[in-house]
Amino acid sequence: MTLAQLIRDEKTTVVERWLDMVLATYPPQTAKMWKVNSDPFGNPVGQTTLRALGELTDHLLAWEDAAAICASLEPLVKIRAVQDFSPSKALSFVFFFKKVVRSLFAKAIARERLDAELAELDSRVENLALLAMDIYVKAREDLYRMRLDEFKRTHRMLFRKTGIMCETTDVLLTGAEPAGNGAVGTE
Amino acid sequence: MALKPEELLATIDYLNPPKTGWMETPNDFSPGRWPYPAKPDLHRAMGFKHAHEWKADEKDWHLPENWKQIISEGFKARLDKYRSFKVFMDVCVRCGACADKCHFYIGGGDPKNMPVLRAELMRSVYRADFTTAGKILGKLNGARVMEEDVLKEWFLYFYQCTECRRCSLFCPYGIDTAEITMMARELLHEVGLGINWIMEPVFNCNRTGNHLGIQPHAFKEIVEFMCDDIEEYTGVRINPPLNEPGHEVLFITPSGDAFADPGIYTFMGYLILFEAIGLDYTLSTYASEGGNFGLFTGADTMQKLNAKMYSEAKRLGAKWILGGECGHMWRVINQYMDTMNGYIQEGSNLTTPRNPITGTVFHNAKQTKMVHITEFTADLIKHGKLDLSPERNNHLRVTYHDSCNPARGMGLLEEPRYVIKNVCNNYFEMPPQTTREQTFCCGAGSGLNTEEIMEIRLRGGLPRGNALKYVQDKHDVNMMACICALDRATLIPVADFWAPGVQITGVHEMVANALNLKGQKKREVNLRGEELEEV
Ligand code: SF4
Ligand code: SF4
Repeated sequence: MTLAQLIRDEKTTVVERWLDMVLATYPPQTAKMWKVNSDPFGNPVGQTTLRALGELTDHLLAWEDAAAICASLEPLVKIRAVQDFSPSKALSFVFFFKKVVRSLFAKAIARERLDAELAELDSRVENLALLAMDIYVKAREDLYRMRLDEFKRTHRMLFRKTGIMCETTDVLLTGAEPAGNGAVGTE
Repeated sequence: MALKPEELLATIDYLNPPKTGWMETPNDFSPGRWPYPAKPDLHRAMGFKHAHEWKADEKDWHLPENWKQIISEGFKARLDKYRSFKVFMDVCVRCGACADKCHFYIGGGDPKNMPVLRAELMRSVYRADFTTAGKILGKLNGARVMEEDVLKEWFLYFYQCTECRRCSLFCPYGIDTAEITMMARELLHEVGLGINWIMEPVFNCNRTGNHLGIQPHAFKEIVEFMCDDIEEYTGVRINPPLNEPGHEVLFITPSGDAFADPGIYTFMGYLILFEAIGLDYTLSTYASEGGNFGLFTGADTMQKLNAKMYSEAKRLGAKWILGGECGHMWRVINQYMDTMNGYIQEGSNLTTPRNPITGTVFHNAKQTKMVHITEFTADLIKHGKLDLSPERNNHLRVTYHDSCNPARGMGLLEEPRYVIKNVCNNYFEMPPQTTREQTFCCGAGSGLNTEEIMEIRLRGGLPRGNALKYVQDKHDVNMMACICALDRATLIPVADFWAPGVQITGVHEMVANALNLKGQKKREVNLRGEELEEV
């Protein structure tokens, strides 16, 4: 019996325990509601978390396709990136997997001498956390870019009127006069 | 003093959330959790005498000395003035039906964003101050006295309610948390606590007629830019009348359509539509703002800003008013305008609106004299008055976001859909529990569309973004249409973050892209100046 097999056989329990730990990062009433409401549109956080953890469990065992792993991580990490969490707390959910595995399979691991496999799984979890960190940082960068873009959009016609915005960066690079719009100049 | 690693970890003890009851959980005023305070001079200029300098993350908010008295008297006055408010304070049975219906709760999970607890922030004070049971039983009855922390909590959470009214749809008693939020914000303004994103537009609107404070000559120039673009793209020159008396219709739209991308394309859409049907209308620089952030400030401010619609219609001798694509503007028009300012209609030419092209009489607007542009355009299409080439929109796969106010506030559900389906060939609905009356807010209504609280907005926008992602994955949707100027701004980050690749448009941008104008040249680009495929 390998550890991977144990996890695969008990996948529902593994995912459920993992889910409980992730939901425990929210207030208790919320954790309860998000656990039971199965409507993906009325309960996007609970349902996205559940789906992501299921997929990630498979990925941790297969450990094949980085793009697919990121695709599974992304929806969950993005949600946690805009919730009221510090970055460490937002990403803590990845490491919970270690705890889940130990709490469910400690005895079997000792009995069947699965330490080597456990160590490998641990290192996958750590790599998963690094992938999650990249996604998290990108989400935060996007967020700051959006704040800036929004300001520009809001004042678009004013910028055009006063001629203080360039249509493209070519103007800056070449120093060429922007075309069009006659006296009003650039956009 | 430096923390040891375990001490640092103890501060993120994720398995042991704070065990305090909701009333005692301390308020967190970290940056990003509150909108910037209103500039005192603007706030004061709007007649609020306790306007003052303050910052949410400082301990002392510099409240007026008698702030408790102001709140208590203001509370009482409003309980007397609005029967609904008193009922809402009294009848909640805490059944919890509304608890998980608010987008801020759904996205963030903070229990104080459950509508029932949000209202409880006020109700607990109401109980202590205005009910006998509360006075005697105190905390046992869920009552608490108005302390500075309670007031701070009001600020934090009543500026995390977009007054969208989704919760009230699910309440067996129809308790409208939006109205409770409105009362709380009114009271906060009385003690000098407001936010700048609301106060500055209010101040500008009051002085120059629109949110950005653009003066008439600049407004005219901006409209001319749009006409230049229209001419470039269609070959037809339009010269919209401005401030001209003697036209049948006065057209008013939110100024976001005139200044902001992508609202400008919707504005160009209106102009093209009016040109195509030869509508006898005028724009106004005085009434150059359909939006009314007074709704988010207080009843008096709302009334004052709204008055210019009728005043201008009267001054210009218009027979009726056509209103553009806006959300909260219609809440004000539909629910409050006639009561607040109906008297101004006296002695004017205003009459029950009649579509001059089709002859349809809008009896639904008999009271307000104001017609929503999607009703108007739907009527034109129904009577075959528009020469449309919807295939020019074939590159779009469109879904429709019901903006809270037109959908829940005035029941405008079918007209926008009818118009969209007639001007583009690929239309897909989002799941039913996220549309029509049950629509999810963009996450930034009621004056919360300010960038410093982008995290709050994005988590509030999660339910909408999540439903959008679903139709993006399932049907390759690449455009979400809406009929609200605020949405046109706020849905962009929502889509960008939760369903990247989906763009946002107003309905009349698509109408105009499909609409043929007499004497037009070959339409090779759309109103955004993007090349169209040969169709
Ligand atoms: S009105 Fe909207 S934002 Fe406010 S509590 Fe209800 S659902 Fe939430
Ligand atoms: S649904 Fe209505 S009665 Fe029930 S808890 Fe919410 S506000 Fe109270």
